[in-house]
Amino acid sequence: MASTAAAILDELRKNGVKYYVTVPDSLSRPLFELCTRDEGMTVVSVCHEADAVSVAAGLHIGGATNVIVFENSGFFQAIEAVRAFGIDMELPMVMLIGWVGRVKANQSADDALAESVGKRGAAGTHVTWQGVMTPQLLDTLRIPHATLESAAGAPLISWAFRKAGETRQPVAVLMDRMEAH
Amino acid sequence: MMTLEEALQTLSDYRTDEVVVTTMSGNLIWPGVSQSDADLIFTAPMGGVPGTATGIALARPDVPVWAINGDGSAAMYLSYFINIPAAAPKNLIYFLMNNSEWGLIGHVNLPGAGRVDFSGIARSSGWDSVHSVGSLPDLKALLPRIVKAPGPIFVNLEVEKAMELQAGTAEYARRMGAPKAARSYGKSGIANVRAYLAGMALPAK
Repeated sequence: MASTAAAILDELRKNGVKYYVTVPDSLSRPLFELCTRDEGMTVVSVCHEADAVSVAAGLHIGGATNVIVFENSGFFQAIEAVRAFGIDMELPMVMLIGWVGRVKANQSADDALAESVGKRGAAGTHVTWQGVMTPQLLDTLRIPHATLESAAGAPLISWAFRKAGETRQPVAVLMDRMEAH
Repeated sequence: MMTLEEALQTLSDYRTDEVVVTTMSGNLIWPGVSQSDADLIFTAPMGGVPGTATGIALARPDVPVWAINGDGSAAMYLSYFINIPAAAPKNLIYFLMNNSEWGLIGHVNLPGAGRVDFSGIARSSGWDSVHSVGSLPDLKALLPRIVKAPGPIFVNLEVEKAMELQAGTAEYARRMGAPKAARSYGKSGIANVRAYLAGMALPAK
């Protein structure tokens, strides 16, 4: 069975993606590694998440299908660029967003925050807030989003490209940590 | 020293088939001097011009692309000085209109005004081709040497403080409302650039 990263790469290929524009993050690292080695994919690494959106906008204008990949904290950084290019200028864009501080599917945001109080590091409150805010911000921006749980969910990538193309708007796929192999 | 208008007019005079992406004070002047519809102008996201120009250049290596940026926008995302030589689009020239001010809000000095060496930043960030010009004769001497040279190329243009183009003024509204400006701005500019690129088909591999 293919790894989540391999399944996503396969979906990216199916959708004609030639450019992987990214600020690499730990959650998507296996996918980054695969794309770096893939002959059909050009990886454009940039220093700031807003840069990724601006470069992706230019690629799209130039006719090159691309995907944007960064962590949710980086998405927060990039919101103005997403608003301007994706929402205002109606450039379809697909963002794969690493969902750091993800709230469990069976847990409310308030419960997750209450549970995290007093903890530090990866399970600490600030990280949980990061996770809680991610879908809320996407909703505020009216950006459709779905969560990719495993390799079986990789077809969500095709859903995202179809949706972005139909609506001429940004679409996000939230991703948890993926297995390396 | 040259004015922003003189610098942009000179770039337009030497332009042939380049796609131009520009912003800020330049967006009020460029439509008046540009003879092409292959222009994309936007003011938001501020700082995004070099990135968008890079994306177009990477997608269409057969088409020369110019980014004409302001120094306030460049200062906001210095990261492009690193990103662009890393991505290495050979068909990109980045012209920086450097007057040490935020012009659109009415001659407000940038932090570090007059002390920031953008050419130095470019050189230390990996650009192989870096030029700085402070006069029209120097610009006119430089352009024929670089317009068809392999990039990415960075050109710092020392220009005088912009004329009064403050947002919210009648002159600002007049310029933004001009037909060419409207055609080049945002979604309309994207449509024009796409149409232009479609007419310049990629060579067969």
